[in-house]
Amino acid sequence: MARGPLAVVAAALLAPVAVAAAPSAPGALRVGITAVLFEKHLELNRQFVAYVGEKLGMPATLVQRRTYKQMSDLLERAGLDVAFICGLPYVIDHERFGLELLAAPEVYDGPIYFSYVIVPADSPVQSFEELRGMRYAFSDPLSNSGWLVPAHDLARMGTTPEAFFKRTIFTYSHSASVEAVAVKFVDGASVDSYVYDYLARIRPALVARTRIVRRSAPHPITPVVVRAGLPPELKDRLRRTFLEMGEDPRGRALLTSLGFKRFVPIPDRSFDGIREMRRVVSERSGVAASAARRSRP
Amino acid sequence: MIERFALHRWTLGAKLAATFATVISLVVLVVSLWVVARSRSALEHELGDRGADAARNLSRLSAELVLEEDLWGLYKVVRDVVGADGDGLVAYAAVIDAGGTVLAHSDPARHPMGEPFGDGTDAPADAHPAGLDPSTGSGAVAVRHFTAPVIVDNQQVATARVGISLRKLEATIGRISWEICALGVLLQWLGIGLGYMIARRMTRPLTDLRWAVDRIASGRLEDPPTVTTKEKDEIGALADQFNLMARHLRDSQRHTAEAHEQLVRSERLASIGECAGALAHEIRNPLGAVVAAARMLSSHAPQATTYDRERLAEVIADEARRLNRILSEFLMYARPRPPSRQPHSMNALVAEILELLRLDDLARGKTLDGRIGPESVPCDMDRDQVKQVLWNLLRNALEATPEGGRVVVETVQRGESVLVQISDEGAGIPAERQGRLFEPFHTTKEAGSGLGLAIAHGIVSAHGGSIGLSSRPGEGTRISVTLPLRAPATGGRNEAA
Repeated sequence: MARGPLAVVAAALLAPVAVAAAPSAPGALRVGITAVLFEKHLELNRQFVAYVGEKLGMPATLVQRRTYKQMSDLLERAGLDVAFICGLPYVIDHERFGLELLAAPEVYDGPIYFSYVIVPADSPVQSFEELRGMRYAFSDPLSNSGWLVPAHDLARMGTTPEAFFKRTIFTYSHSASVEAVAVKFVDGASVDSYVYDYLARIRPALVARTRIVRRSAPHPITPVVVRAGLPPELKDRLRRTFLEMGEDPRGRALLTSLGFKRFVPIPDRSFDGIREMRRVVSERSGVAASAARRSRP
Repeated sequence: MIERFALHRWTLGAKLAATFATVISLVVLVVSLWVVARSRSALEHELGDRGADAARNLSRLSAELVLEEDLWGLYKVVRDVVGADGDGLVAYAAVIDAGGTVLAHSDPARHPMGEPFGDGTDAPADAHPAGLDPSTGSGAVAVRHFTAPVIVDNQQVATARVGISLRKLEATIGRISWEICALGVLLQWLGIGLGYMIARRMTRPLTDLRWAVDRIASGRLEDPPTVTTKEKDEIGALADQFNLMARHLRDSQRHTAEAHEQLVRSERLASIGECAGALAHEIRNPLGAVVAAARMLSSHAPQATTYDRERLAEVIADEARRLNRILSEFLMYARPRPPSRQPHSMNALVAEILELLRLDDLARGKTLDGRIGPESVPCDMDRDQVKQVLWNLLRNALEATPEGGRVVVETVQRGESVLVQISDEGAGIPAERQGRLFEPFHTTKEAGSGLGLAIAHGIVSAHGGSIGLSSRPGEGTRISVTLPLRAPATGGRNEAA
C-alpha cells in the first residue's frame, strides 16, 4: 500500500527535501504523516492533528517525514505515537516491533483502494505488459500500490522490475509519479488510486495528461497505526476519536476535505494478501530486499 | 530635374537645416552603434555570468541527488532552474552522467531520461569540459551553453548543463535600437527646426540687404535704405558697411547733381555771352558806317554837293536797313513762330522754288537740276516756313557752286516721312567747321548774317524733322532735310490753331 490517505495529503512542493518535524511539546501526542502531497493538505494535516488533540484533550503535534522508512524508524524508536502508514510497512513493522492497527479510512466501498498503472495520455501503450523496456516510476520502495503490486505482477510474469524495465526511478510521492508521467519523464508509473482520484478532482489538467491502463484488485487501504507500547487507555480514546469523527460537523468537514467517508476498524488479517505478495516477490528475486536497500534512510 | 535639386540652388536656410540634420544624423548613427555595441557587450557579459552561476548552482544542487539516484528529484531541480527564471532566460537545464546519458532534462519529451544526450539540437556536452561554453545552438533562437562539473568526493560524477537563451538579449538590443532610432529621428527634426530658425535669423539681414540693394539699383538714392540688425557678426559688419556705402552714394549723387546744374548754368551764361558778343559784332559794322556817314554829313555839309549828301543819306539808309534785317532775323531765331501746319504738296513747293530761282542772277551759268516725281507727296507743314528753309538752302548751294557747276534737288518719300536732298559742287566744308554750322552767327560768307542755317534748323526741328549734312572739301556738300508726312496728334498744327 502506498502512503496513507492522509500521507497523501499535501506536498509536491517540498518533495525533494525532508519536511522538518515540528518541535514536539513534552507530553504531546505525536502524529506522523508522510510526505506532504498538495499545498492545501499541509494545512489540512495540521487541522486534522489539531482536531485529534482537541478531542483527546491533550496537545498534539504533527510530525512529517518524506519516506516510509523514516516514518518506520520513528515508530520503532517511539518517536511517534500514531501514524498514517502504508500497508506494506505496517506488515513489516508489525512483525519487527509490534506496530498495531487503529483504524482505516473508507474511500471506496470498504477500507480498500487500488493500484493504477498510468501512462501519458497520448502514449500508444494499452497494457502493463507493453511497458517492457521502457522507463517506469515507483513511488516508494515500501509502498504497496506504488511498488509491491507491480513488482508482484512482474514476479508472476516471471521477471523483475530491473529486468523488465529499461530504467526505474522512485519519486517518493504518488502525485510526483503522476506528474512524472504527465511530463513524460517516465513512460509509466504505478500509483495509489486514492491519490490519483483525489488529484483528478483538484488538478484535473495534470491528470488529463495521463491515462489508466490497468486497475489492480482491491487492497487494504493505508491504515492508521499506533506504536507498540502506547497506553491502552489512550489507544482506545484514539480509536474512538477516529471512528466517531463523522458524528460532529467539524470532523465531518475534515473527512470530506480529505475525500474520506469515515474511519472504520480494520483487522490484521486484511493484510494477509500483502504478506502473500511480499513473499512471492521476495522469493522471485529478492528484489524487494534490494529495493529496500536503495530506499533512503 | 537633377538641376532642381542642385545644391547651389538651395536657399541658405535649406542648406543650414540640411547641414544640421546631416551632422545630427551622423552623430546619432555613431552614438547608436557605440551604445548598441556596448549594451550588447554588457548584456552578453551579464548573460555569461548568469549562465555560469546557473550551471554552478545546478551542479551544487545535483550532487546529492545524483549520488542517491533520485532522478525525479533531479528533474525537479532542473525544472526549477528553468522555471525559477521567470523571464525565460534559461532555455534548458540538464544533468548528464559521466557516460553522456541524460539523468534529467527540463524538456523530458525531447531529451528522455536514460537516453544519450546531444541529438544535434544542442552542442555536444563533451565539447566544452567546464566553465563558460560560448557556442550557440542551431535553432531559431540562439542559445549559449554553460556547463559545470557535478563533483562528489573530488570526483566528477556528472555534468550540469544550462542553456541561456539569447532571445531576451536580442529583444533588449532591439528595444534599445528602436529607442535610439526614435530619439535620432526626434533629434533630426529638432536639428532641422533649429537649423531653419538659425538660418532665418542669419538670412533676415541678408534679405533686408537684398531689398536695399534693389532700391539702390533702381536709382532711388534720395532716401537711402538702412539695414538694421542686432548681429555683431560678419553679416552685421556687412550691413554696417552697406549703410555707410548707401550714405556715401547719396552724398556723391547730390554733389554730382549740384555740379551738373552749375555746369549747365555756366554753359548757358557763356552761350548768352557768346551770342550777345556776336550780335554786337554784327551791329557794330553797319552802325560804324552810319556814324561815319552822319559825321561826314554834318562836318562837310556846307561844302558837300547835293549828290554827296544824297549818297551819304543813302549809305545811312542802307546800313539802317541792314541793321533792321539783322535784328529781324535774330528775333526769328530767338523767338521762332510756331509752325502752322496744313497739308501741302512737297513736290509742288520744290518745283515752285526751282522756277523762281532759275530766274535769279545767282543761277546764271549754273545748272539747277530738280529730280522730282509727278506725285504730289502731301505733307503737313507750314508752307511759308518750309519754303524759307528750302529757299535759303538752295541759295547757299547756288552761291557755293562755281559757274558751270550743278545743283541737284531730289525729293524721296520714305515711309511716313519725306526726304529733300540738295547737293552742290562747291568747295565743300572742312570737317572741323561742320559741327558749328547750325550755330547762330556762324558763317563762311562775307555778307551773311550767320543766322540762316540756325533758323532753318529751328524750323525743321519745330516740324519734328531733322537736317543732316555731309561734305568733303573739293567735292561739294549735300544737305538732307527730313520732314514727317503727318504732324503728331499734339503737334505744331494744334499749337498753331
